[in-house]
Amino acid sequence: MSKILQVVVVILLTLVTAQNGLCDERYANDEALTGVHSVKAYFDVNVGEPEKLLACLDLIDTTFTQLQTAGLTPNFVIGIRGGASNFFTINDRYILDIDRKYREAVENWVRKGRDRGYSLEQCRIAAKLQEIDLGDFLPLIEIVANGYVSMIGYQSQGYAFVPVD
Amino acid sequence: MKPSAYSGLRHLYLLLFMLLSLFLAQTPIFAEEYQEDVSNKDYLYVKGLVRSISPEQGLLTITPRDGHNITVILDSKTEFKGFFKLEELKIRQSVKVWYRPEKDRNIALKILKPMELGC
Repeated sequence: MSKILQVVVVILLTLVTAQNGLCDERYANDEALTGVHSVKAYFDVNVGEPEKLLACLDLIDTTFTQLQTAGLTPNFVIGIRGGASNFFTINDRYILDIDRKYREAVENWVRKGRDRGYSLEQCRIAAKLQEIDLGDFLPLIEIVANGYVSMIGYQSQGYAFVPVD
Repeated sequence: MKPSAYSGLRHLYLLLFMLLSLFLAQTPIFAEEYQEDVSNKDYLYVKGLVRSISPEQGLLTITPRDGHNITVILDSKTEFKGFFKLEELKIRQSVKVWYRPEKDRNIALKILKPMELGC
């Protein structure tokens, strides 16, 4: 293949990937991040539909990575409540048989989240309402007395509140 | 008895009857009462997640926390609480069901959708 043809192929491929959104480098959040060196965020995870839950968790990871790439140090707290609680457990007692794979995926996500430094908090009131034994939550998750108090507290400390529902 | 006195007495009887009706309607004598977490000779109780719904056939399958799936069939007497029709329930929705087992099916007596506080 001639060199000219190779260059043409590379240019065409670049154009195609850029139009497909595969080449995201041209997008940034420069204005939002001007003068920012570290970020703190509280993610209110309240999704009971497992596919959507996993998509949301993936988006949290993407956000973390993009902030790191932008040269920032992200500090994320993941607050779990509502229907999401059922998927942060060590067994399948709280989910349908068809959702087993999702619970396992959530468990893997939690394990990887630890490496990223995420703090994971489960609302005790939500657990009680859904009759989930506190001992059945994944060991990396901290049980807090009241998720609402956490939201208020973290926001008072300057954490950005990010609804995930 | 004078006609006016008779009329007054009749109104009193009517009032007493209405009050008694209201009182009885609020007691379990008229209403079917099902206790939570209780199964007895009249009904069985199950709490779990909605596994499948078939509004056309009036079928609801529940996955209890421990144990096998249970399918109940609705009839015209099935009582709903917290919702109005079967279509409103969703997969993974938490429900409480009272039912009466028969030879080849389970008749749904009452289905309760617990209040969701969003917490």
